Amino acid sequence: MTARASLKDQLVAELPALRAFAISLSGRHDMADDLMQETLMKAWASRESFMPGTSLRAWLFTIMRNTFFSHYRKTKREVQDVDGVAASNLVSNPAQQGHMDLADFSAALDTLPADQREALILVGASGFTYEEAAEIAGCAVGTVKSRVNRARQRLLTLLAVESLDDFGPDFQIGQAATAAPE
Amino acid sequence: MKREKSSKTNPALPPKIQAQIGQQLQNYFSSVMTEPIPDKFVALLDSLEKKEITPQVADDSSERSK
Repeated sequence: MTARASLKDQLVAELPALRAFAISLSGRHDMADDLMQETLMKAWASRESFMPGTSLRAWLFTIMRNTFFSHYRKTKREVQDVDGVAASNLVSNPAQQGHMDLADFSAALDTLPADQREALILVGASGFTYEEAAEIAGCAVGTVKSRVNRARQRLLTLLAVESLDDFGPDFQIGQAATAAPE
Repeated sequence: MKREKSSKTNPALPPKIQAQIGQQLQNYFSSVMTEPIPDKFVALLDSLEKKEITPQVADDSSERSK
């Protein structure tokens, strides 16, 4: 009984992280809340499959990303940026500010393919290791690394204006993507 | 699939750039983390927990009263 109560309490404690993942993954608050609700119900229904002593957060994130990739992604209006239009819009705006605000960053994140966005969030924001992220996403560690790397490069082109100042006048966006590290 | 394999042509970014992108990402994520959680999610977990504790009526025995 107390074990069950504490599972609920543990789930409540994970709500902020879970919701942040839902919002980052889906890019929309309304969809994120549907995704949250479905994830919580599935998690509760299959709580026997959670192995105590393992990461509850990783378990919840796995349920959420599987739910997202099986239904929600189809309805998501993903920003198709074949011509780089969204990217150039994003880059031109923060140029004057010297810093992208959170809404711009969120928009930049949204232009990433969902699998790259997922990998980047898991590793770069949620604090999972590459190995944990691979387990959550159900793919090889190398695949996660490559997705994260491509996501960063993509974001770099959107965040480039700010970054370039740090690398001096000779630094070109193209170099970041093509030059081998010294 | 082809794109997956092309990672060799995209070497890792310099650490400084990675760190900067990482910082932006963490700023974004922590701002989302601090958004208030709608009450409905705690309410949902409460109701799931209550439903579980309520003993289920055995279908057979209630049918038999017929």
